[in-house]
Amino acid sequence: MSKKLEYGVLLGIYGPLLTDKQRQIMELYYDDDLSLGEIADDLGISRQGVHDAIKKGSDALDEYEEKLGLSKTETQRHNDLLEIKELALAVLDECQQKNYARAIAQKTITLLEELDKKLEEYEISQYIDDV
Amino acid sequence: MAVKIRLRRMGAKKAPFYRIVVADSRYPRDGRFIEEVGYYDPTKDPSVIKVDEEKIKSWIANGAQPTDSVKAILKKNGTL
Repeated sequence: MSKKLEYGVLLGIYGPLLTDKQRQIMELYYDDDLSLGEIADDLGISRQGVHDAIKKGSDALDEYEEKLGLSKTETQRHNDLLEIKELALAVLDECQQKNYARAIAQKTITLLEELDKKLEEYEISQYIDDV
Repeated sequence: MAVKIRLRRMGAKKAPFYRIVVADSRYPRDGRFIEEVGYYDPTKDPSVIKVDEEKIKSWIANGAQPTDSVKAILKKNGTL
């Protein structure tokens, strides 16, 4: 992920902690990919002012991430869930080959459904559909 | 009139997702754009890039400027 996209992610998490004005500028820059000059024109402030706001805002985001680490935790959690799903699928596979393990297989399916529900949070395929 | 190829963030919190759109640089941010030419999903590993190469090439031939971030994505994808 490039630098700009990383900040977009951090902005989604810590954005509400910034001031409204700062957040607006940061969103235009990181989410809508506008240039400094374009933002300056839109908001009627100087290019330098936009640059300063973004620099200060990015530093703030870095500091939040360093202290709270929510983005890292989130990624870690996603990876953990995927790993658990992998294991559950392996268990299910094993159980289905043995008659006496039907009850375990059933429980594993419930577990998988639970996991999928949690993983849904990370799925954004609905946005791909309308492209 | 400068036409740009740029990203637009869709998606939700914790799940960024970008559309690659062609837009006039002077359009206000209310979401107006000329055409959508692809999408970019950085959450998958490796990131998913899908672009309409023909459209992008014809837009660039007509003078549209990709932004640095779009340029990087297109390079990675081999379109540029």
